[in-house]
Amino acid sequence: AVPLFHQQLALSPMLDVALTQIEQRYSAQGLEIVGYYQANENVKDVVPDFVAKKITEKIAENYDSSCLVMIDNRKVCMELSSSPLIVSQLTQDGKWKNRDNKSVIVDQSSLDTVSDLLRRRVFHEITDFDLHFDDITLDWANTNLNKLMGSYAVA
Amino acid sequence: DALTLYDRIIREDETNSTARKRKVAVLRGQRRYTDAIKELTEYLQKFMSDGEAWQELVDLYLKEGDYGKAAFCMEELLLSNPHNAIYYTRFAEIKYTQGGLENMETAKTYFGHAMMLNPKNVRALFGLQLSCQQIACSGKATSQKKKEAHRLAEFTAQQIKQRYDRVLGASSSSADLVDSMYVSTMTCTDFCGSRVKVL
Repeated sequence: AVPLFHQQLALSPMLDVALTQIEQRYSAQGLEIVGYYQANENVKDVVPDFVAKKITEKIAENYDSSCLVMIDNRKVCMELSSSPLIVSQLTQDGKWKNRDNKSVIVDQSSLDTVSDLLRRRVFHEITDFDLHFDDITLDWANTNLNKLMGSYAVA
Repeated sequence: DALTLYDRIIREDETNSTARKRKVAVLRGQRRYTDAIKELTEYLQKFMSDGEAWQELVDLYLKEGDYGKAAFCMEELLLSNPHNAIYYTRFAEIKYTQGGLENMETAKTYFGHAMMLNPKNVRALFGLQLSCQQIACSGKATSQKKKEAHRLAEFTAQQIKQRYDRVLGASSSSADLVDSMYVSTMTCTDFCGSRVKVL
């Protein structure tokens, strides 16, 4: 998962640059963009806005089962007991349908890892594309953080 | 309840700008974006020089997808802050998102101006490159404009490559990045085109 922006999401030029860079970096590894996640600014707001839908529709043009993942901010805490993700997909008649929570599996070890990272305030170190465009020496792929998360899986 | 109190404060003292702005913040927190916009517009009719308020209004209009009004607010900010490269970049981004040849040319001009004010601005450089590509590929532009745009697109692409080279070390990855920017032109046109249809 690659973080994009924390400021204005509705503007296309930087989004285009970001998606191009992501595709370019990861296609060599055989990876492709399969979905989009968003956390709204308002804690209680879990409804995808037009930006989220438009971006995921665009992804769906290249990848049929693309997912739109909304973060349920109310569930994000330092001791995660259940998945805070709400996944929806585009149906054939162009409507957005939420996937049943039971079909979205997030195992407890992942939740434990995220809880620990939250407690350690690792989120201050995340670089997204907004920060990258302000200073291109910052790595939007967050290689260091990914290594850190990898170390949890080994342990 | 807070809203009732703020209303009372405003009734008692019409010049109290803080109470009005707090009221807009409360409405935004309640996700009543249309009401927040209405309240903020009324505020700005009385307190026209409040830059922070204009910025907030741009943000609210973009949340609602009203790019036209967001652009208008950005223009107000530009009038009062004619040397702020960030405002030029933001205005250009809005114009680019609106799409269409005229908006793209405006975007190109404003990205260019932002670059003049702050040559280190990477967003403006990317924006300039993308908007030139869009113009170069446009069916409606004159061939002379297309040629100019194409030349500028190539120049800016090289500039981007140089900057990334300095950071990543001259490597194939920055060359690939620049090439992929050309490939992304078609994606850009689709995205802008479809966004305009949403409006």
